[in-house]
Amino acid sequence: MTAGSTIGGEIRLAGLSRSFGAIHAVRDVDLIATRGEFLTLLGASGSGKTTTLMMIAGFVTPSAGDILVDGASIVRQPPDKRNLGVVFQSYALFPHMTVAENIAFPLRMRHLGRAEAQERAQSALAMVQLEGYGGRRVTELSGGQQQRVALARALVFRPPVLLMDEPLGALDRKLREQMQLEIKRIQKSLGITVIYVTHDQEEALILSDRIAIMHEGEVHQIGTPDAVYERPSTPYVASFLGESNFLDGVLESKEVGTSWVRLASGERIGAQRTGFTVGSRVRAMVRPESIALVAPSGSEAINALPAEIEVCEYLGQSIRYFARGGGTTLTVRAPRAEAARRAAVGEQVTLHWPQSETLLFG
Amino acid sequence: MPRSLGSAVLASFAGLVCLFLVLPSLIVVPMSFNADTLLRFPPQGFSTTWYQAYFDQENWRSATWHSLAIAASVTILATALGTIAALALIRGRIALRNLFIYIMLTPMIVPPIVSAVSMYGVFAQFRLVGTLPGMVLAHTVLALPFVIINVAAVLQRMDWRVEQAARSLGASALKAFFLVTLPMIRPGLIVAAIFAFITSFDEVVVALYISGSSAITLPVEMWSGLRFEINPVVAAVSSLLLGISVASLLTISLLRRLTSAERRASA
Repeated sequence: MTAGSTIGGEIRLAGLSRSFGAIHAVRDVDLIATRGEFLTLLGASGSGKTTTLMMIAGFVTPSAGDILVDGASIVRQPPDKRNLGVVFQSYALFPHMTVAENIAFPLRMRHLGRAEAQERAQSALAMVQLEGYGGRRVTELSGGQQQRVALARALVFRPPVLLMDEPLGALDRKLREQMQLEIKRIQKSLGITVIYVTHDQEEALILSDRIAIMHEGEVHQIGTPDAVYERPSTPYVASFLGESNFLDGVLESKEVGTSWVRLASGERIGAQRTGFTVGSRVRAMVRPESIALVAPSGSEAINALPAEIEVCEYLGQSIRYFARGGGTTLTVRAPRAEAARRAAVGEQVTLHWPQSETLLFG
Repeated sequence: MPRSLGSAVLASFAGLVCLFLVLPSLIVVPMSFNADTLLRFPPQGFSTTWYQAYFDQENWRSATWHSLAIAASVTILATALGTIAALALIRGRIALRNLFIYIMLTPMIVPPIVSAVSMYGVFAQFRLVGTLPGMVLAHTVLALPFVIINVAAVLQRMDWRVEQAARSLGASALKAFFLVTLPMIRPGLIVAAIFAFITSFDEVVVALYISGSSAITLPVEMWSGLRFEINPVVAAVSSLLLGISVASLLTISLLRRLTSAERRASA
C-alpha cells in the first residue's frame, strides 16, 4: 500500500469567529474547500488567517461557528482526534527523535504494527525525496530538509486535509520556489485537500486552486488566482494583490458597454463595469502593467491621460515609472523587452489603457 | 596610561576578589588532613584519621543516611511538584499570575530562621518534628522555588508548536507531554533536581528545628560537632560536602553547555 491512496476530504467553515476580548481576530468566516482543492488563506499579519487555521487544527477555540470535515463537525474534538495534518513554519520536529522516528510518530499514536509503520515511513520519506535520511538526527538537517520531514510526518497517516501555516516562510527564495513545486506535486499526486496560510501573494498565486483574501478577520474575496487578481471585489484586495493605481471621480454617464468617469482633476476615463448609478462617487483602479506609455496626441481617445514622468526605475525584467497625471501619481510597469523607447524623467507622455482594464469600486 | 596595564590591574584585582571568596571554603581541605586533635590551620602533619573517624562513627553514619534519604525524597517531590507549578505558570491562563509567582517564590525570600520557627509551630502539632517525613516536607517547601525558576526558564524557551505538532499527529495531551515535552526539557529538569538535592542536603537552619533527635542530618550533626567540641571530623565532612557541591555545579554547567550547543545545532 502506498501513501498515494490518501483521499482528500471536503472541509467547511461555517460562521467561524474568534474574538479576544473586544478584538475580533476572525469574524464570521464561511468557506468550503472541496476534495483535493488547494485553498490559500492570504492576508497581511493580523488578518486572522493563522487564527483561522489554528481553529481548524484545534489549538484555538472558536467563539462561534462550526468546522465540518466531510459533513461531520469536528469543532468540539481535541486536536489529536481531528485527524488533520499540520505543518508549521518552525517545522516543529521532535529534536530528540531521528527522522524516521519523527515520521513514524503519528503511526505509533495510531497503534500501527511496527513493520507497516516502518514501511509507510519509508515511502513517506521517498515521497519527499529523503530516502536514506531515516537514521539522521533532525538537528543535522538543513531548513529545507526539515520542512520535508515535517511534510512527510503530516502526510504519513493519510489525513483528509493538510493544514500549512506559512511553511516556507523560514526558507530563502531559491529553496522556497523549489519547495513550492514540490508541495504542488505531492498535493496533486495524493489528491489531498490543503488549507495553506501565507502572506506571500506570489506564493498564493502559484500554488492555489482558489485564494481567500483575509483582512481584519474577514474574508474579502474567494476565487481562482486570475479572478482575484483581475477582478478584485474590494479596493483592499486590489491593493493587496499586486500593484494598483486608484483614481477618484464621479460616474458621469453610461453608454452601451462603457461607463464614463469624470476624475477630480478634470479628465475623463472609461470603464467597462456599470454597476453604479450616474452621479455616484467611484474609485477607478488600473494595474500598472495595463498602462502603456504613448506619445502625446490631441485625440480624445478612451483612457488617454496626459502625464509627466517623475521617476524611472530599472527593475531588470521590467521598467517602472511613476508618472504625475489625473491628479495623482500613477505607477506604470512596462516590460523591458517591449519598451522600444524609454521615457526620461520630466518627459510629457500619454498614459493609455483599454477600458476593460479599468475597474470601478464604490 | 596604556590599555594593557589597566587591564592587568583589573585582572589581578578580580583575581584577589576570587581568592577572597574561595579561600575560606578551601581552607577546610588541608585542615581535614590534620594529624593534630585540634581543628587548626596550618595543619600539623598529614593523616586521614578524621576521614576514618567519619566512616567509623555511628552518629556520622546515621546523619549521612538521613541526609541522603531526605535529599533524595525532596529531589523527587520538589521536581515533580515544581514542574507542575511551572507548567501552570507558563502555560496556564491563570488570573493573578504574578501573585502566584511571588507566593511560590516566598520560601526563597523569607529568612530561613522565620521559616524554621513557623514550620516548627505547625509541624509540632502534627507530630512531624523529629521525623524523616517532616524533614522531607520542610525541605521540599524550601527547594520548590529553585525548581520552579529553573523549569519555568526552560519552558519559556520551548517552542510550543512542537507540542502542538504532537497533538495534531494524534497524541493525547498526556502522551504529548511525556513523549515530546518532557524529553525536550529534560536537561532543565535535571538541573532543577540537582538544585533541589543541594538545597536539602546543605540546609541547616530549618533542620536544626525540625530534625529533633531522631532525624538528625549531616549539617545538624556538624553544627553540634562544632558547638560542643571542636571536632576535626567536621573538617573532613566539610571537605566531602564541598566535593559534592562542586561536582553538582560542574554537572549543571555541563548540562547547560550541552543544551545550548543543541539549540545552536537546531537553529
